[in-house]
Amino acid sequence: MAQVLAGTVVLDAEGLSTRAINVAIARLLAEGATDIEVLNVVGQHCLAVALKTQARIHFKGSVGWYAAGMNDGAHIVIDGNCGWGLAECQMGGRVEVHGNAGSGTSVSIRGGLVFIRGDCGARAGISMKGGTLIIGGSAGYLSGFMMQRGTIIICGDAADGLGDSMYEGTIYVGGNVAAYGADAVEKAPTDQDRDFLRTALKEFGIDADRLDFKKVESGRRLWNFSKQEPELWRSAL
Amino acid sequence: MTAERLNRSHGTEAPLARGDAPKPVLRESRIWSKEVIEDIQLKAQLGRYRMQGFSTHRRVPNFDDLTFVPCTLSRVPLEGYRERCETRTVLGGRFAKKPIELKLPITIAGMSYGALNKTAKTALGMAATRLGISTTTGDGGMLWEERQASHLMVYQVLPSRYGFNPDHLKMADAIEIVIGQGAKPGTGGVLLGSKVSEVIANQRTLPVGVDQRSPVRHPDFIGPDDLQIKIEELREATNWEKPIYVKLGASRVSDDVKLAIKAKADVIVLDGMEGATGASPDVLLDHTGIPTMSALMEAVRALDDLHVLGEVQLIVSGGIKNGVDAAKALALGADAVSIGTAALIALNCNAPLFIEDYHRLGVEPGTCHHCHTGRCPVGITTQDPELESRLKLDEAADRVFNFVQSMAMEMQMFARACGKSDVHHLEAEDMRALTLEASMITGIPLAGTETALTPDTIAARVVKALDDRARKHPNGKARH
Repeated sequence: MAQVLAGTVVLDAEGLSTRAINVAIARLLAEGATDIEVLNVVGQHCLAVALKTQARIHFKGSVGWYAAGMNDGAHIVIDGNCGWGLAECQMGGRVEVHGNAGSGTSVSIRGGLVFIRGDCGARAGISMKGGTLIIGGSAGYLSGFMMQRGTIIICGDAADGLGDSMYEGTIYVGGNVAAYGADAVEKAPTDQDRDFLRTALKEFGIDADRLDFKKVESGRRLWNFSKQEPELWRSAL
Repeated sequence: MTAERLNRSHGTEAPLARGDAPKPVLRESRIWSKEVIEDIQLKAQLGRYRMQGFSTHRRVPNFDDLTFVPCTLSRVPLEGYRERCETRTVLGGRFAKKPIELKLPITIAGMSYGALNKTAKTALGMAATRLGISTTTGDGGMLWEERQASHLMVYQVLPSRYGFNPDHLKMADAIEIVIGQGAKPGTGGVLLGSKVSEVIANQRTLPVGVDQRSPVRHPDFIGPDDLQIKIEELREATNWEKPIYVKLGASRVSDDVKLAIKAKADVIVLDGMEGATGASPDVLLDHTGIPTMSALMEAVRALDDLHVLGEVQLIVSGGIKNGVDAAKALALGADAVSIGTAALIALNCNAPLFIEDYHRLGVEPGTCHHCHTGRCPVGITTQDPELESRLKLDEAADRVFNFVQSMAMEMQMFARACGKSDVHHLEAEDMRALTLEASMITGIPLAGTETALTPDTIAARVVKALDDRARKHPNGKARH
């Protein structure tokens, strides 16, 4: 099932279930593999979840829901698209998707980096508690909802409800924002912000200077209830 | 006539002779009661809904509306204080490689480190370990001291994912996906700023002092089909070893339970309307959800409909206050009960201690519901170190141990009296209903009758009565 080619262990997943693929990956990691390529994945759910390793795992094809969920240190690359819940609750490590991602991408991550070359569905990066989410394309409805910490970079457009009820954290948007969510406040990026964006996007071949980034943060008016702002509190989700 | 006399007689009756006037009766409106007036005037100041801890104030149909009918001449009891009566309970064998085994059919419900402090959580863990039962984490993640104290721990996966850590998930003995809670199904948790101390804020990755209003929807799944994949993810993350519970606030119980079964849960945790909370808008406590006993009946029918009775275990919670309630819940079909408020009361909640601090909150012992303010006089639902120091760890753990032990003994007492050598053998036939509504809800005959009053049995009686009449009066009108 697995063979070693130039230091990379190649695992053929043709006809294998989620369980069989994950068991095979766990066995290879236990045997000391540090670079694994998984061929012929066809959208199986829950692949490479809760891995605590520094290894690199490269899925050649599209994967289903919860790929790289709860990742803690692994470098996971997906050549195709992915379903919902990519890298949810990631503690650390790095996940790259070179297609599009479904809804709930990178939710509640605590650390590490998640990169989506294409677009994301709704609720990208909600409840993020740290780490960085970079979206090369556009992001869907309610992205950054109740974000607590961390950074989201959206190179394309953002749909309605961006940054609704954020506690803390920062969102950058290179395209248009359809509508901000409750208490999300647009600010002018500083030189420091621009330097950060250039560095963060350079390794993915994206020129930050060609985009007119907006910076979005919490207005902090929802941190504690105030009866002086009834309209804000009625519209808070 | 004087104005006073006119007032007394409402101007319609003949004036009373001097000296005959009865003492005026103060007539309180049933609509605009003192409670309603106070409620409106308080909201007129607050500009928002009211918040409170604890549970609903309402009286709802409950286990007290049932009574056991133990063995007499027609059945043989076991010796009440001596004969063996099993309490062992196994949960989660449907798909998990390592089901959880409890010595008693009782668990400590999920209560967050944040709503409760470290001493309270640790005391619950110590007591649970001595009892051979499990504790449950809460919104805010796992407290290391509680994990060390608890031999068996259930790790909750909540919508907020505050403090969520896959390492802690792997350390757990079971996993509980929280869809909702009985106190406020359909609404997320609340932790007011007064309780978001630096420690709690760090654990939840929040700013210190913020009013934390948790989300109600999970960030990465929404419906039952999604839930099935989420459960698969958690199983893959834990090598298919740990039982997966799904916790539901009692609402549309039959459908919800069936969907959770379809999503491949091992265990259903069903939290009824009487369930408590650390903080909630009070209108939700009083006006959402259905009572625990009603929910239990719906859930058992749902399990039966899908032919998984005994395969998928059912834990019920919400207002379980002693071994009597627990025994009745088991007799109605639950596999175990979960206690939250009862365990806190055993810790000392609402005990007549530090009376002046109750008075500062405007309440008396026995009426305190200030879990949400962080000023708990007995040091349980507070993050204030001075208040927390009032809760002595070893003594607190002893009290919880003693209370749960008494629950177990009470359950065994009823089982033996009903001739059962295992508390799980208690059944609905061992009880009678004391109220019409309890009879209709449970399908158990009203005491003094032989048939339950349910829509089906009432319809059958009507049909039989019409048939009887038709037989007696064959030339009468035909039955429609």
